[in-house]
Amino acid sequence: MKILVLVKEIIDTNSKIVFNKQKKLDESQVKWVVNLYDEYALEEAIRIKEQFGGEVVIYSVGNDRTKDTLNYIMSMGADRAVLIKSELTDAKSVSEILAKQIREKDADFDLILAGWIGIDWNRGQVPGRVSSVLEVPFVNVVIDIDINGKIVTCEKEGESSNEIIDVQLPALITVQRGINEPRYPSVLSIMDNTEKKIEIVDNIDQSTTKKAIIKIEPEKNRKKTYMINESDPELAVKMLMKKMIADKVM
Amino acid sequence: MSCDVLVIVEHNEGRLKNVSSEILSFFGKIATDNGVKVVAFIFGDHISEKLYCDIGKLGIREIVSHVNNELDEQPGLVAGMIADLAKKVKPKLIVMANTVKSRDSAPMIAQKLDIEMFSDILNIDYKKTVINLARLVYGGKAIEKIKLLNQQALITVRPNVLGNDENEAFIPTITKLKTNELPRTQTYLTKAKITKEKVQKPINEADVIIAIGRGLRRVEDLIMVNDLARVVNGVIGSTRPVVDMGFVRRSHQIGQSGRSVSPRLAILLGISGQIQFVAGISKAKTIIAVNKDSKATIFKSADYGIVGDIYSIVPILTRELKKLKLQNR
Repeated sequence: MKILVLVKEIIDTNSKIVFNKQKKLDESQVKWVVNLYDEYALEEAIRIKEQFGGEVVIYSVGNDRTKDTLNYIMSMGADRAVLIKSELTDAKSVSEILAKQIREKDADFDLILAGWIGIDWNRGQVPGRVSSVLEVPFVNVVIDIDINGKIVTCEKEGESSNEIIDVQLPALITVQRGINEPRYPSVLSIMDNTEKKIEIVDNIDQSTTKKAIIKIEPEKNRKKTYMINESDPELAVKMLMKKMIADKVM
Repeated sequence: MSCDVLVIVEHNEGRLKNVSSEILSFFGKIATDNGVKVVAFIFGDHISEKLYCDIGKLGIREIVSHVNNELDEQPGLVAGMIADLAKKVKPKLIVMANTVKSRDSAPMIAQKLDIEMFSDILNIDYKKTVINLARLVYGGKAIEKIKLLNQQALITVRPNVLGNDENEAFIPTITKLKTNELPRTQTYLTKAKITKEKVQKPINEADVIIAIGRGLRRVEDLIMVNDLARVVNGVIGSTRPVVDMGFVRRSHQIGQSGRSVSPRLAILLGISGQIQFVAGISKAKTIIAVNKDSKATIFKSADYGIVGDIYSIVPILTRELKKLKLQNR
């Protein structure tokens, strides 16, 4: 089986998000990691490969720095990677770049796996868009995958109920936390200095779509907290109720 | 038929979803005040006259509807249908609710129409010539401000952020779409639905949320939390560790690797305030936090804080809120 995994390198949102005087994000303070949900996707791909044999190929849109992150994450057990260098970060462009490269290099894929959302930008668009361009069925936010020949049975997170969905391969499936426990990258593999098979592609921006104007600003903090430090719980609750009624919250 | 704004309406069991009512009343007001043409699209099965009426009451004059009971399970077909409609009515803005359903179809719709999409919108400033939008990024630490100048785009709107406007009611004109029988496709087959034991409201649509953290020591403590939830009509959510321990469903996990929510009121019990959790709750209108540690970082993110033992505070709070509720009857 040929399994492709869409991986995004993101700012570690645990790191200090600092804005400089020009209100621009200070990237020197920032750590770069693999998007959490993409780790689950990669782990799932490797498990499927372990079950059925085949190849796991990572696709990622990034820049020079992304190579280090990919080197690290490939040590979980991916066979090769395609890193497309581009300054473009909007979901539509990234999706079209990925789909184009997949069509050119690995059009005979059986399955594409991806994390369902990126925790940096909270968009959740790229997988659905890629499935649309590649014209394959799309199952979103899945917590269990079971492959039987050409049919994949997925348990999908629904609204008030989970759904069991069958799709035919080739397909694109996004994964949700809880589908598996990602393994740690093999230490031996990380220490192995032989270059991992990462193909680097330069993307030439050919899009003509007019894009929205985007600005990022720091989020304002909440105003001062009304603290109740009263040892008698009855009194404490009374004080809270009184204040909230006065503030018209209740 | 053409329009400025196309609103995709979600409904459940014969009623409009709250988030759809919010979106419809928001754009209903804009339609009346500014001569903006708004069309609502509703689809699925069980679309009653009452639903059309409810949409009209929110200030909407035109509805397009498609009755079909197979669409529910087929995001790909839904995406194709909405994209086709958008090609006919050419709205500058397509508005959906940010829900479990829309997250499947919205990206496909946007790609089919070759347009940008912005999800989980918290704020809309609408003018015919320029639309300003806001959403949270970087785990809630930053705001992304988006300016649309005369280009077509799709947005999904977070529940509980637009509020409800009072508008002039209309008797809407209804255009019923007749599409050819939808292709019977083997590519996406819903075989079964596993109903979760207690059918809870999706947490991101809840008006009031009670969130619990590791301060809750045993699963039996959930009874105490349930009592509080019942009095305030709240939905129970939690931090990631509590989900990992099996006390709360993953779909009700709040935070960076869970849901982002904007309830009117959030009561946080025994939560220390890790940034990964705060990222998901920071947009709640009012936050009350209870923690026995006065130095807990959660208090920085709260409007009201009680330093105290949740086992003492919660039952008293439940009792007092019940009293207040009865008084206000």
